[in-house]
Amino acid sequence: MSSQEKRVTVSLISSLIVLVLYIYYGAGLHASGALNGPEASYLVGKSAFIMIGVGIAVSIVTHIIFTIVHSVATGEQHSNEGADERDKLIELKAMQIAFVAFSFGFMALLAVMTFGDIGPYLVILLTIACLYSASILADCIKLALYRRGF
Amino acid sequence: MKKGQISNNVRKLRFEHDEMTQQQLAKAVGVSRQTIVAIEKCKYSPSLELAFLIAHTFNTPLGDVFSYSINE
Repeated sequence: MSSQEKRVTVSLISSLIVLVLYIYYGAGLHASGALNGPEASYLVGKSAFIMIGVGIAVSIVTHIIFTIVHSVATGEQHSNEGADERDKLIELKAMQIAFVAFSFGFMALLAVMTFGDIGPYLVILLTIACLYSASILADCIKLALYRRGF
Repeated sequence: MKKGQISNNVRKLRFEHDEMTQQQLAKAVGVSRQTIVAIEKCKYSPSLELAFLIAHTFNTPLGDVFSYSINE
């Protein structure tokens, strides 16, 4: 596994953890009716900032644990190789697909907001979740391209 | 448009040049070892510049390192 693949794997794991935590937190806000209350904008804004901080912390911890586990399991030493042309191409392809996926997700949210009964603050929360989901999809595509080739 | 396939003799040339390792070739041309692995398995087609660098490393014409065939 190259250093770039390891980075993508760590990013995928940490993004999954953060997304699950964010959905759990958002579902709690929605269930309690806080998104319809007077402090909805404050809570939504706060949740985004907290997610950034939690995301950084989870990413660091995941990276450390993954590096240790991978070193013990494979005996490989950690290398700090930069991204070469293949890595950049894979990242570009994954980002293109993720961008399209996010666009579809966002359009779906707008459609639900237009024709359904969903509040604007819930749409913001779901948009952020959609962004994270697109990021996870990009990581999955990168791993598939690293394994399968293109 | 007809689809073609790029094949190469990188692995064979490595062995013919003092049994050069993938890591040594990767370092010589400025890419990761995994990229060399992908090239040898024909899972990745290198850029023109990288292809020339590989050919230059082996002191071999480009056409002797990489070949292109069109699938009919």
